[in-house]
Order: sequence, then structure tokens, then C-alpha cells
Amino acid sequence: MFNFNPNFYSDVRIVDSFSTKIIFKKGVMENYNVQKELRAFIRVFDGKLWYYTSTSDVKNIDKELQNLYKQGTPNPDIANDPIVKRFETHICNKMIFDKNSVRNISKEQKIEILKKNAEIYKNDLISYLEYYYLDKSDNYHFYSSKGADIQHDYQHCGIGYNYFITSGKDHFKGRFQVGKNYFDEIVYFENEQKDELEKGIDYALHAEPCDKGYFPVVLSPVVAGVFAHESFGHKSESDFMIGDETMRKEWALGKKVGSDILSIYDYGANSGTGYCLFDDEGTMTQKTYLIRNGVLTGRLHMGTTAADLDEDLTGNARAMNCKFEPVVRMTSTVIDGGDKTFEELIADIKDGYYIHNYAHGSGMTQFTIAPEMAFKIKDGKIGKPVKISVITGNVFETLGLIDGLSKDAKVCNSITGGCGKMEQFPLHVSFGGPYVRISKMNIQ
Amino acid sequence: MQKEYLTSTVVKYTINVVKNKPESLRKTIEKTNTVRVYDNGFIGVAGSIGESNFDELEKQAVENLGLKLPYPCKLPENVVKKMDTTKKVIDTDNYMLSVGKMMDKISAAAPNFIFGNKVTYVEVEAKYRNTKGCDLEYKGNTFSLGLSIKSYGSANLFDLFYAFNEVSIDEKEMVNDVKLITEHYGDVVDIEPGKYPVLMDTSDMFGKSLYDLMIDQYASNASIFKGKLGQKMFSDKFSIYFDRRPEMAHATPFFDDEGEIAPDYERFIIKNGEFVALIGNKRQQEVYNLPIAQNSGAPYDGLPSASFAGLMVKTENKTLAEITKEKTIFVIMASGGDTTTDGDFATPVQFAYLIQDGKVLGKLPDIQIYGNIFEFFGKDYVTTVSKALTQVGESYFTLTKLNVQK
Repeated sequence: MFNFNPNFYSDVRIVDSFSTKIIFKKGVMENYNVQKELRAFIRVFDGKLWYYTSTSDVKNIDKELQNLYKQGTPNPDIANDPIVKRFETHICNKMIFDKNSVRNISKEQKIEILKKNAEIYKNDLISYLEYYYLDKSDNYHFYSSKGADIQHDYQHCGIGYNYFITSGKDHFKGRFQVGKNYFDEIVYFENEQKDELEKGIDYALHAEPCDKGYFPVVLSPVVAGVFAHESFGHKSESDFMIGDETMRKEWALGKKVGSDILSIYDYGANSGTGYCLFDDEGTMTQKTYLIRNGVLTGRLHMGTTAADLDEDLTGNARAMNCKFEPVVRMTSTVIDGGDKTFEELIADIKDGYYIHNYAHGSGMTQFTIAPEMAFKIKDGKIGKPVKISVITGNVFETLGLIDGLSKDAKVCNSITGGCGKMEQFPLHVSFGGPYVRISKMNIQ
Repeated sequence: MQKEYLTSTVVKYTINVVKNKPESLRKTIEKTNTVRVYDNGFIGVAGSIGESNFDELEKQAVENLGLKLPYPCKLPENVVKKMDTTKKVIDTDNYMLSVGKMMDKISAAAPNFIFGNKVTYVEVEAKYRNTKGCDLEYKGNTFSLGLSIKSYGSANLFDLFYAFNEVSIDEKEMVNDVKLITEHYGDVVDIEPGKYPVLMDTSDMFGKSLYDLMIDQYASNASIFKGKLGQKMFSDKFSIYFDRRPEMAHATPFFDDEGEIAPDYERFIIKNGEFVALIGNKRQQEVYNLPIAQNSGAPYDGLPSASFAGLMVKTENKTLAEITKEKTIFVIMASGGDTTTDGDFATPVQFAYLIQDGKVLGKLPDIQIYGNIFEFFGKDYVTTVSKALTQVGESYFTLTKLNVQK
């Protein structure tokens, strides 16, 4: 235990990190990197200001703490500070990955699974193939001056294949990625890979320019997840409301913000790359409904925002790694499923688009998604592949234009991207939903 | 066996601003060490954090040659150079106090807005030496401000952004900048759809097309620029290059992570409209036998790869008034754009002003802009300037013609 000064709130987050990166280009291993790091992030709060440091010298954390105390102003009443009062004080060990850690998987096993799944890409139309194995294992130990003592962990691993298909004048950049929590879950994905590759080849050979304008659109689960994350999730991160009374009234819980069938939640206990049982202030995750049946029902918090808005913690104080302080971030953000099948969703669309996957997305009041692959919907059926630069819409209008959801929501993982917020990118998150139909979106 | 030894020390003071005031101070010191060894066409790398024993690292790097990772041994030879560009910027002992006073002045200039995000001061020290007689050292520093600006009551996470990277602080000019970008926020003007002069951040226009300049993609015929290497592609006035000139690239060593120094510290990818080199590393250059604009980056314990650090567009020294004689759309924020394989670019514009003669006429409603990359960097390209809006530091904006849709 550390020599915490009672006139300050302090916490110490120690992370033992392990990661592997293996990259093959054109069949040759071009990179093999195993990174191990032990690092601590220390926070001290005097009731007015926070003081942070990050150090790899974990034997001298007490010394760093004393240095931070010198910068602040002692506050004998710190325990009654509204931020400090909210912090939870769990004492527990919730290590769930240690018995099946990627740290114990050999280099040969990792390379074998990678190479085995690469066989499918032996195709004359593929002019370039790059594939990679990535894993990450973080063992956390969190201590606070309030008495929290939490051991928990996170792990993901996965494989990915990036390829270029070239045909005549045109080309297509395709990708396939699988991200899981356990190595045993990365097996052989022949059918999924074949299906995606066939779609990619069809896209490269036959994709046509799209008609620009406003059309009904159906989003796949992964694209729906990006939409939920970018369009509404970021607006639910309550740090953007600090100091703005008008916004608090505008975003009052209970306000209607979407169609009746729309519900979106964030939950760090979902398996996948959004798994985050405890946040970086020692708060346990909870299932937070941001929208339920179209009504604003919650938002995401860390200590400072919860105190400022006089609401409860939600377990969303997250740092990208041990070099940064936590800020309000999402974990696993998902649109709940509805009552239709995919076929029913597209059945009455005469002229529209199906967005199969995405290259990137971003969210302000106007949000955008750049599709990687998209298809025409003509007379209730999926038609030809089309080239679309971006689909865009106003967030609030679009949330109200959702008029159909398929039954099952799928949570999608990413082992390469993740979420970016100002200086902290990428943070591992997941997102998902069912197939989502939107009656009108701007296609460009 | 040839060897390279690198150390890097980065000291960073970061203040988080919340509701116009400093909320926290983070001080980090990151020292990293790297040894790379080359033997028989392969590379071995070992790295560490903090104080380190280089003999031990070298031993590990030699062991890692066993991974058989191919990489050519083309080390720079016989260059000894030391450079210290450090300038007195801010008193780090009173950093919180100084930034607090600065924020008071900035926020007073725009009372209808809330300022947030980061104010950072960085000191960098980098050393590179190898067994072929190279010994390089660099020291530099920079002050960077990146403030999100949100109008009270706005549903956006932020509405405007004010950022620069400099080795001096002029609070008076900062206040002028902030006034310029905020005082016409409430004045609404409109335009008809059509083709207009558009001034916007160059990186937002090039965006994802940068990847089409990368060697793997180009050599695999999967670039929108395929077959155009060595050819005139854009306007004579348009050049893209890596800039490590000490007076321009603050806290950036004059050498890259493989100890390479560019002639005049500049390496061109597109020079006066001609596509002259690709983005890639020495290994890719060897595989494809194509020219690269050498600009390497490397993690402390990993292999060198192509870096985008210092990527710039050549600018002209013109003022905002000089380049906006006619009504011009000044894009302040546009995110989420992309380009198809035909070079068709489109993006929503989250925030834009209409300006003329350097004066803001008012804020435009939500618009979409689109055009083809070969046209807007070709026949429609006008210029790129480095001080379009912010008077304090560098901020690159390109003027060209694009289609506007509402």
C-alpha cells in the first residue's frame, strides 16, 4: 500500500501490459514485435485541481505521490468533496483472462493461425495481400486513498487480412478482421472470408457510381454500430455539457430524441473489445441506457462530470493507456434489436441503398459514414454494388427517421481501430446493433 | 554486422482546460532506447524505457536477428551534426499560473463561448549514432495550444477549434485570432448551390488519398494515382513534401528515425504538380525498386516504417485579404469526407464562414462540398497559405474551387 496523504484524494493505476504484433506482406514476415511494459499513472486531487504523473519507475510511486502533493493545496475536508464522495471503494480480484492469457500462446501458434486463414486469398485478382496477428493483455491494479484495491484485466486478440483487388482501370481495397477475447476463439473463418472476398471481387468488377441525393438506407449491424457510436454515443459523453446550463436544459433526461423503436445502451461487461469491468477511477460498469424507446434516459460519466451534473457514476472514466488520465469514454455501445428480418426491412424499398461495411465514420451534429462496400436496393431486393463517398445526416433528424430494426443485435469488435477523442486514440471499444432502416439519408 | 543506437527523451507538460480554466496538470518524462543490428539482409531490434544498459540491448537485438525479418542495411555514413533549436517559451515552474492567465484573456475575448481541451509544452532530445560514422543530436521545444470552442447552448461537442504549434507566445495575437473566429458566429448568411472558391485545411481535402501515395498500394495498382509516377498530375503551384527544416518543424529532429537527413531538410512527393516519389521505407523501396521520399519513423522497440511526420504542402506568403477578393467559403470544420477510386471527393461541412477581402461576412448553413481531386488540385487549384486565419502559428489552408450543395 502507498503512503497516501489524508489531505488529498489520490489514486494509483498500475498496468502490466503485453502486446504482440506480427505482420506478413506478400507472404514474408516483415514484423514481429512483442512489447512488455509496467507503468503507473498517479492522480492527486486537492478539491480544486488535479495533478498527474505517469511513470515506468513503479518502485518509486510513493516518491512521485509526495512530489504531486507538493504542487497541490492540502484540503482537510477532501473526503466531503462531491467528486471524491462519489468514488467507489471496491476491494476485489476480477482477473478473468489470466488462465487463458495470450501471453502463454507461442509465437508458432500465432503464426500458424494467421497463415492458415491466408490460404483463401490465393486469387489472381488479388494484387497485394497483407495480414497480421495482434494481441493485447493488460493486468490492472487500482488503489485509491479511499481504500479501493481492485485487480482486473483485459485481453483481446485477432487476425486481419487487407487486400487489393485490381481489375482494368478500377481497384478495391478489401479487408477481413476477427477480434475476440480468447485465442481459442480465433479459428478458421473460411465461409465468412469467402463470402466477403466474393463480395469484394464483385464490387471491384462491377461497382457503379451512385445516384446522389436523399434515399432510404439500410445499415448492416457493424455500420449501425458506428452510427450509434459516432452519432449519439459521443454526445452522451457528459464532459461536453460541463459549464453549459442551456445544454443541461436542452438535454434533460426524458426528452424525446428518436423514433419509438430506438433504444441504445452502453455496457462494459459485454464481451469483446469494449469489455471494461472497472473504469480507471475504480467504478464498476453498469448498463446505461442512453435512449430507451426514443426517449433520452441516461448519459456517460466520470467523477468530475457526475458531480457537476449531480448524477451517478456510470463506469466510463477511461484512459487509452497508462500515459494518460481517464476521460469520459464509451465501452460497448449497442442499438437494441427490433422485430423484423433483413428481408422484411428491404421489402418495401423501391429505390434505396444497403450499406454493408464502412471505411470510417465521424460524428458532429452532421455525422458521416464512408462506406467501404454498398449496394443498390431496387424493388425490395439487393442489387448492384455502388460507389458512395459518404452518407451523411443530421443526428437528431436521423434518429427520428429510423423506421425498422431487425431482430438480433450483433456486437462488433475492432482490434486495429477503436475510438478517438482528442489526444487519446485509439481506445478499445465495441459497437453494434441489428440491421437498421432509415427512411431518408443523404447519399454522396 | 552494422549497428544503430538511438535515444529519445520527451518531457511534456499538459494542462487540461475545462470551462475556460486549467483543471489539471500532467507532467510526463519518457525516455526510450533502441539498438538495431543488421546482418546478412536481416534486422534485429531491441528497445527499453528509462535508463538502460546498451550492451544488454545489443545482445537482445542480436538474438532477435533469429526472427529473420528482412531489412536492407543502408545506413547513413560519416555525418556528425548537433543542433539545439530550444527557445525560451514559458516558465515551466509556473506553468499552471501562466496558462491560467492566458486562458482568462482568451475567454474574455469571446464571452459567449466555452473553451476546453489541452495546452502543452514539450521538450525533445533525440540522439542517433551508428557504426558507419554517424553521430547526430537534436534538442528542441514547442508550445502547442489546441482549444475546443463551444457556443453556449450548442448541441455540438464543440463548434470551433483554435490550434497552433509555435516556439513563442503572443497573447495579444491569440486574442485577436479568437475574436476573428468567434465574433461573427451569430451572423447567418446564405448562398445558392454552385461552384465557389473554397478555403479549407489541406489535410481535410487530401485526407484518405494520402494512402494512395504509399508504395504498397501504388505498386499493387490499387492507387487512384496508378501509372502517374513521374508524370504531371496537379497544378504547377502544388507540391507535397516532408519538411524537417529547423525553423519550421518545431520539436522535430532534423534527421529521421534512421538517421537520414534530407537535402535542405525537404523531401518531395509531389513537386510542382509532378508525382516524383512514394511514401515508404527502405525495405519497400528494395522490394519494388521505386523511388521513395525517405521519412522514417520507428517505435522504440520496432522496425522502421514510413512516417507522415512533417508532411506539408508548399505555401505562399499571402494574406487572407489578398486571396479572398471574391466571395469565398472558409471551411473551419469539415470531418468525415472521403474519396472514391475515381478521385471523387465529398464531405459535409460542419462549420464555414463566407468571407470576402479577408472579412467575415457571416456563418453559412450546413453545406456539402464535392469535387474531383485531379481538378481541385489541378486546374481549379489557386494556392495554399500558412497563416490564413491564425496570426500566431502555422495553420495550412488551401484555396481551390469546389461544388457546394445544401
